[in-house]
Amino acid sequence: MPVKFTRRQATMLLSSAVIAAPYIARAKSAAQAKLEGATVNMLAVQFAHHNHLWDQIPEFTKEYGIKVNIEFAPFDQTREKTLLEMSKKTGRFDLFTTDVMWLAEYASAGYLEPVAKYVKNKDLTTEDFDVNDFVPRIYSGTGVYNDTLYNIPFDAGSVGVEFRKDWMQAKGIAVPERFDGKWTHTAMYDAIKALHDPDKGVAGYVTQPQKWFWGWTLTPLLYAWQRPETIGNEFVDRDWNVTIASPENLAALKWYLSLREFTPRNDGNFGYGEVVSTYQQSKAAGGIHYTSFIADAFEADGMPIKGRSAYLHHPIGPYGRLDPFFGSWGLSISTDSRQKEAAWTFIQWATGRKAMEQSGLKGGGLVRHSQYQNKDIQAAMKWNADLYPLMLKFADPDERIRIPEWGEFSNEILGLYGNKAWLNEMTPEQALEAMEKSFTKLLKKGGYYAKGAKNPKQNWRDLSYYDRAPADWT
Amino acid sequence: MKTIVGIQHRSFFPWLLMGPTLAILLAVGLFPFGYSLYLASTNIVLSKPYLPRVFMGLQQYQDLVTDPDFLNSLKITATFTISAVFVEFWAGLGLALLFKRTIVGKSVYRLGILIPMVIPPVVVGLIWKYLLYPHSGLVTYFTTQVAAIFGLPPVPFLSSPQTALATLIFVDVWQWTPFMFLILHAGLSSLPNEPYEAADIDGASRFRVFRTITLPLLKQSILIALIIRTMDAFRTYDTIAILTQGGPGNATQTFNVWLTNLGFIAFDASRAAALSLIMFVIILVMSFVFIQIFTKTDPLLER
Amino acid sequence: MTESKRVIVSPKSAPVENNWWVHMILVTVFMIAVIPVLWVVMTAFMTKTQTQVMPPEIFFKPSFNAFGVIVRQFGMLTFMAHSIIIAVASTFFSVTIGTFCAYALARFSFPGKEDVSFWILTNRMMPAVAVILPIFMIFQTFGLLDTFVGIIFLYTAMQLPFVVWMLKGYFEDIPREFEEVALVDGDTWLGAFRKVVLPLMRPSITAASIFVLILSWNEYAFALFLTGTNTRTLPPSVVTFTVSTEVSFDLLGAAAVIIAGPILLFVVFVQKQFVRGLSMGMVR
Repeated sequence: MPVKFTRRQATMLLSSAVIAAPYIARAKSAAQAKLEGATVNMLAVQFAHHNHLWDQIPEFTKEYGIKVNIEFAPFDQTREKTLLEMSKKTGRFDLFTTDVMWLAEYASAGYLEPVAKYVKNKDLTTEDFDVNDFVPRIYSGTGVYNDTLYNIPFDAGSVGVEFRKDWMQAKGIAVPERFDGKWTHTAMYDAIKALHDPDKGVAGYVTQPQKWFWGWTLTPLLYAWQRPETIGNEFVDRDWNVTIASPENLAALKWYLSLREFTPRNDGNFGYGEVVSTYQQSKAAGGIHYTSFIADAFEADGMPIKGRSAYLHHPIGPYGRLDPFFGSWGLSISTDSRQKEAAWTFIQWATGRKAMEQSGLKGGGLVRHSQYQNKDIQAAMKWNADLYPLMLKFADPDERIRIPEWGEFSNEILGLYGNKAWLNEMTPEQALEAMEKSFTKLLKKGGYYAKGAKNPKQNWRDLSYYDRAPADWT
Repeated sequence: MKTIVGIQHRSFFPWLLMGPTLAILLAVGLFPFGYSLYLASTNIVLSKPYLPRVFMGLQQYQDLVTDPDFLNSLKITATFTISAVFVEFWAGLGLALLFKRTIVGKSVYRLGILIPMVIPPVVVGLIWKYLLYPHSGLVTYFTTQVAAIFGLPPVPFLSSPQTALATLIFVDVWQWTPFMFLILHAGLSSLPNEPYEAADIDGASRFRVFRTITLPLLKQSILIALIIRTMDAFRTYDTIAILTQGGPGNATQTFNVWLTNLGFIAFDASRAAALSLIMFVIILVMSFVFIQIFTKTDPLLER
Repeated sequence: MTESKRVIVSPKSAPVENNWWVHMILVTVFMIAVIPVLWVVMTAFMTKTQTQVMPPEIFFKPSFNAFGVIVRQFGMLTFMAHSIIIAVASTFFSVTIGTFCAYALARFSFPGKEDVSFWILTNRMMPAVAVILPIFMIFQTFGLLDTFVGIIFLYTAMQLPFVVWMLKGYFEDIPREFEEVALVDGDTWLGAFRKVVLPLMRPSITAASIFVLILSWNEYAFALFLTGTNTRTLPPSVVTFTVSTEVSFDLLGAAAVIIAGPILLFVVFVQKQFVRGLSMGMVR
């Protein structure tokens, strides 16, 4: 039966089709239309692999009529600058990029706006956001503190080690796959030992003993070295008594220090840059990496080492435990923002399916099922796509325990004494004792042992907490 | 008829001239100072607004002074400042004396020597980070080659607690000797001629001329160069932060690096404020002593 | 003032044109000062892989890729424009304002003069890191964060002690009779100041301006925390865009050229005036 239109209806339909034509992907809701003309300001860390996402912003502006003004900060000063702006409540920034290890600090101070209400708001959130397409652990691990959602992920990764496939094969060492269970601490030690060739100027392994980096050099080992009954007590027990100086941690530290025999000379102050540079120049057979940096650091076009590395996880510890390291960045809204809805509009677009797919193809972080299952991404960014099983099953978002003190603890306590142990200024035992003492002092200052203290939840003891479906966070 | 003496009698006049300067400095200087005093008397951690505020009295200062880091930083800062300024001064003076000769190509030499001081300290830090980079650093590469000839291991420029501070001092010397040179060079080229002619007649030795004529006449330039350099060396931050971040261990943790760690890693505004006031007093006393030494011994400069 | 050759050379150090050891020292110093900078400038024209090749390649096909990245992708020229505005304006204000103050301190004697003079110097003593928080709060209160007015005001204040202390010495060296003659001739104080004192001081004021310009151009810590996208200057931009988790040395080279190039060129042109201005006032 033919449908009859009045002339008026026909005109309306026609004109709305014309207007809608550029926006076929998303029809704008009334609430979104109201935000047109706004400018949101964001304070963002400067990372090459994040630029793949920011590069698409002109499309966002075209689609929503909202401008995004980004101020970049060097990574080392991102937390400093962010916290200064937050604590003085300037309201100059609507959006922040938040590293998962800083979430507890920002959120517990009340500097971040809970965002679950926006996720649920159908007028402000398009279908492209598709909340249940996020990998649950990445979503809740990045965003949730104290049962509240603050931060939506756009980049996730893990630390691991890279090794020269070609050299391993030449020496007859079996090259394992990430997570195939064969990469144990003895296997890694043997490989390093075999590949170490000082006469040719090649170190077996290169790592980053500089103070700053111990938060992600040592923790993977501390976690892998736990016995089944000590899991969860890597840093503190259930009552927040510090347990760093445990025999398991000592064994892990000693194993790490045993690698010194095969690392480059004069590496006492090596940071990540030195590691990357040494490995890029084929002066080391293996090294530590963070997965998100691989595309630019080792696999960029024109690199002599492109395609020659195997990207593996940190070694499995003596009791069979695989390190569950989890790192991520999310977008969060400042409580002082005067245009939270516009800010959210940007978040739901930037972390949405389409923008994430595009950035994932170029080396940006993977946070969605659809990204991990995307054949093109799997082919182009294997080292990122390979993390899917980790993110699905055993990633521990609290490996760097979710406390406001992490930043200070990681740098000034773990890093300082770890570095001193590496330099032989302290024995491993002394270093762990010193860490334990200082960390206890820090927690005491933070009020953890006061009567009636409301301490953070130790969710790492039951990771199913982070497996809740993303849509279920309220 | 007006004379300058007449103007001088109107006592408000100099204050009028100084007014804008004093107003600006008061506006920018006084509040930070007072606020730091206030911060240091409490326990504000910027990232933890939920901690209960407590009046601390002088507790923050006491905690700092009894912290083992304090002596460590004092030692490192003093070593850094004294050695850097010492080397810069003598190297700058030596160069300035050389420039008193007629040399072919003087202005080319001078330009080259001035270059390091013109470059931003952060970029200087990055340049030296690059030169000292493992394997790909120019300096690392050549020193390793040279050391190998003598069967020595590569020099651990930034990675050993024993050498990292020396490397930082070298970088400071590299950057700031030009400043010393410039001030002293300018001072030297404006010295009056008569005393030298008199010395010539007396047949005084070259060293004696230098000690009894050149040095005393240069006092004003030396004072300015030394005060400014000492103050700045004491507060050096950019290059250290980029090259070592206070490491390895805490072997290069000067006061200013420690201060930054307290203020921007621990976000302990109160502790940082207390430390900055202690640093302030140290610099204050140092400058005061300098000025006293230089003005007391030279009646010419007491105006 | 006329200068004879003998004024420059003290009698004991006879003019020796062919003194080889002097040249040897100077060449060595020159190379130590210049080679690191030259090397980094060269890396600006290398690819990222080339920056890591040792032994160094002295001759290579220059690439302009790094400049393209920092100019096009990171918008370094905008930051440069900000830097120019801020450095020039703060130099102008601090030198103008500071000159009068230095003059007053040099010319007049009044109670508390030494104290005022020393107090001005103390403003240069607080470490930048320590005053960032309170300054940030002042800026926030008056809406000065990320504005030209704010950062120019701050740099002016930051440079004033230096200007005052430097110029004070030079003013003291100008005989006061010069002004008195002009005053006798019926000029006002301002007239005498303009006609007599300023021309004599011009070289020194120029030298002070050059110093202040360099210091303002190079300032990092305040700029990092107090400027934003509207006013960001070059030093924090260089750190932001060349240092991530690793340093991109090709980008660093290009950034170093952009940040130090203009000021180096400037110094090439004003070198003579710089040194002359500095030595000027010390003539008694």
